[in-house]
Amino acid sequence: MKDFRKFMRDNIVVFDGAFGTALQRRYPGAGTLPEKLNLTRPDIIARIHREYAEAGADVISAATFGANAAKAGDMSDDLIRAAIKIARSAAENRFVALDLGPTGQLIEPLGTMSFDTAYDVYKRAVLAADGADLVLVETMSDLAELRAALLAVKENSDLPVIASMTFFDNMRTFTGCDVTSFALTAAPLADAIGVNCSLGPDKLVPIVEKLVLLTDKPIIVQPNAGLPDPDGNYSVGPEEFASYCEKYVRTGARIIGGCCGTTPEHIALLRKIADREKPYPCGYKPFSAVCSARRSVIVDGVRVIGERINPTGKKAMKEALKNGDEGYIVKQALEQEEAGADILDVNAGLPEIDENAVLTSLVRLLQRVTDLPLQIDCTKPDAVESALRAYHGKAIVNSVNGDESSLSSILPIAAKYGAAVVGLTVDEKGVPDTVERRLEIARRIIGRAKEYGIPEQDVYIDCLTLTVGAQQEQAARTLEAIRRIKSEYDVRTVLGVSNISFGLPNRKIVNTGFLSAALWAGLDAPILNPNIPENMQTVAAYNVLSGADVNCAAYTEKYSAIELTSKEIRRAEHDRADAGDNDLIYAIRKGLPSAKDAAAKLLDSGIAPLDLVNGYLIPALNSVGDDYEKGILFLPQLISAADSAKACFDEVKKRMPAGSAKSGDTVVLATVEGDVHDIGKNIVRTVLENYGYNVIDLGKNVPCEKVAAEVSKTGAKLCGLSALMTTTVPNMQKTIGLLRRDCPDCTVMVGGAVLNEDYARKIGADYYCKDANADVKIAKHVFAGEPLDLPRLTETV
Amino acid sequence: MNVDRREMLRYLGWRGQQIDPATDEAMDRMSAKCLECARPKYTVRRFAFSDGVLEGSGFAPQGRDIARHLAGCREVYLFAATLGAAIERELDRTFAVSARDGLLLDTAASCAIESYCDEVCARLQSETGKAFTARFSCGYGDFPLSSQRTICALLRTDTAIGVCVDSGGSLVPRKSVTALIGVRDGGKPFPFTKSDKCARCANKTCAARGPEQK
Repeated sequence: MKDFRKFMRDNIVVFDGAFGTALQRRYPGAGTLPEKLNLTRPDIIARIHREYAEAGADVISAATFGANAAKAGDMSDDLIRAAIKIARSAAENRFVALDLGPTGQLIEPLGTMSFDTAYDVYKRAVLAADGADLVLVETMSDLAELRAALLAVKENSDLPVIASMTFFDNMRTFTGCDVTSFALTAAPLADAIGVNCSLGPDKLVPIVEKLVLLTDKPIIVQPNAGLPDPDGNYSVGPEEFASYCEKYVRTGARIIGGCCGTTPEHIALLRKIADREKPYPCGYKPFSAVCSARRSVIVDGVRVIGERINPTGKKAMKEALKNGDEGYIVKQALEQEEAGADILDVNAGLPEIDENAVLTSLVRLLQRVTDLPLQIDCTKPDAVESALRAYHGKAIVNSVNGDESSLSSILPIAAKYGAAVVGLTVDEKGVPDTVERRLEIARRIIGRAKEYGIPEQDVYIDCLTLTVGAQQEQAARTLEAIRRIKSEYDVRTVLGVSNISFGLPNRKIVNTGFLSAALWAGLDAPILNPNIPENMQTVAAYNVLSGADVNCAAYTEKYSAIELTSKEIRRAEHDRADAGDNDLIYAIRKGLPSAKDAAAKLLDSGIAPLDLVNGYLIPALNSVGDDYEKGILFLPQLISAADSAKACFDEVKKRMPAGSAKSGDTVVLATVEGDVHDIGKNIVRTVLENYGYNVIDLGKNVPCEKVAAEVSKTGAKLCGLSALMTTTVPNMQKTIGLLRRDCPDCTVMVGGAVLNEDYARKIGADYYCKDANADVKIAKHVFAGEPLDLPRLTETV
Repeated sequence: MNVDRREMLRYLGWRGQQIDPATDEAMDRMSAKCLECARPKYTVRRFAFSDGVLEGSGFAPQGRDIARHLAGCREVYLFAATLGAAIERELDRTFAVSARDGLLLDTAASCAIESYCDEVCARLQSETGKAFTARFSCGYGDFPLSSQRTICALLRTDTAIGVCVDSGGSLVPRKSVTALIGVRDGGKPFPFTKSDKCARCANKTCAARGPEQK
């Protein structure tokens, strides 16, 4: 057989047309897993392949779209082997593609399937596809799932692989992935990328026009013949369909074929196009960009990298990383996003934590809540690789330096995942003190990166900020190095700014002066705290003066109605306008944001943190709880009070000595395995935290064993489980069973929409919670022996 | 598609308490955010229906309740709809900042998906000129939740509208619905957009029901 990679370089390639809809016409009773026909009716499958081969398709997609193990279970391997064999014999002298569709499940955190499980599903399919010439991964909506499939192909075979996603009218997939993010992320992992299925051939034109500018890899386009009506009929005929395909080819697409509703007649016309046309050049020009799955950031001007997710010198962040306090970390991310950061730096470098595990879980957490692309701030190859594997986008790795051991360990990892990389101009000989030495190291890094396939546009050189108080002459050298490197190469530059002023008073003054000078020298990506207004003001001023902010529009929009402050702005302060009543108990009861200020004032006036908790917060929450019980307040009002109390707690925590912040009685919470409905559990967490309990929230879809292991490890006396679906209650029961076996002293309370007292008793729980208030009462009873007006469902031992 | 304030209050267990201005404003803000983040989509397929089987699909819905619901129907629509994945992310983000706002956004989204389904069904009904039954979903009465998987496979919801069934049998994104709708010869069209939902539901012990409706 010919080499598909070579064939694709030299020709317009024609794929076959629809399989599923062709089958439905011929064999309407195929049911939920039509791929079964590979074993029961190979004749029907072979006939469809033969018709497409005769129509002129170069590539026949085997009938394996839904034959993956997630959909077909244990039959998967047999179905795939049979399908490849049928395609091979029905269409001799054609390329045969292993066709991989979605697993039919969503990957965490949206769904319950782990990335590794998805990877294993595709790996198994690849290993079963003996005899295929290439792999087509198609109709993908989730960049995470696409990456799982592409990595599975790349790591388990040498076959060429094509990555194709499905976009809708807003130019995004169902999960919100945009065209640019798809191209930036998938192109490094695939031999060709493109689009299929979705709305109809006309709607794909703008997407193809965009794709050809985003990558130099060949582009594949396989549209539907329009959208089906409720009876499954498609409306776009062969002529119309072909006219669009001709347009794609002239735009620069190299591979054309058909998806749902297309027929051999459609494909026969594509054959004519391919015979008539030669590959057109695409308009791709190299550019610098990074992305998450939903937002891309083109680095063609100043882009701010937010530095706050980093424990170095930050007590609260250190505590949050050690305790897995997701809420705190998420707030840091959202505040930086709101302040205008373009990219977030993520650092988990603490001696007392497992950097590999924590960094990877940080990446998972952050990509769940923010669309900003991430910069992985780590120099340990194994941790960098785990983090990049978990990141469904194109990240920056921060960093390599000029030392060969750094270059040869990190660059291949960055290249494999298509990440950009920061090159620090130091090496084994130390920090250079001349411009020339900095340039020499930068050139070495750029050269080695190129050898690994990382283009200049993906290298971000850091010319090093040294402390001006100690080495005053170095500030100017850093700036000169930036200027020189930018004039020599098409690289980007990055710089941590604030180190310049270390040891000086009123550091902001020096920081902003240096930042401004660095931007004028050619700094593209300053790493800074975007919540310090002066930092963002300096960037805004530069954009105005350099002409990047055309007509000063962004500047005017942002600063015309603003009264300048020189304080670090945090989210809670946005709500300051509501302040006015500083009676703390009243403010909490009413759920006012001013409660936080009132608490801070009391603490600053000398009241001990714990006295504030016991004398104000808990009485306020108790009275709100009572009013809720009596029907005076309803749920949002109860939760609102919990929110304000939580903000007060944050003030308390700030003033407690390090390590003592989480010393209360421990409660473990989880939404059980198989269940992603966690709103009730989240509410319970907020409320319990307010009472000073040390809440360990294991999240949603938590394996039964993990709950028992955590309770065992922490010795928690109380565990709360939630489930919304009748189908997941058995997992709740199983979890309770494990808890009884391993942690007989732990009291178990359960809640969730499907539960009631009887049901809770049946599955062996100690208490049923009808609402978050019940959880508090139970906790008070378990930890402080307070009387309880709820029935215990089990015998006390 | 809209977020009906009365529905929202019903889901929140409101019993006539005074609604303070902050809660009131938050309800408005989260309703607006819900409508802004929602990317509603649906898919539908029509089947001939006889002897309790959707012809050509091999799917025979199990249970007395669905049998009663579809009695006399010769056609059945399989239906699925979703608000999309973006709202899920927004829920996570909102919750991280304010539990109250998270709760309200979640509730608004529940109202919105119901309202979207009603609108689509009302439109389909009027376009076909036929009389539909109400939507009947898996997990109602004795119609097993496990049929969710079959319905999603037959409608190919994963590639058609981005809806999957996860290992626990629930739909993701969470704000999604699947249902069967029967077509009755000569019946009265179903009032999909009539606002009093409790009056048209059989679950008399539902927690969401107000005391006056029990």
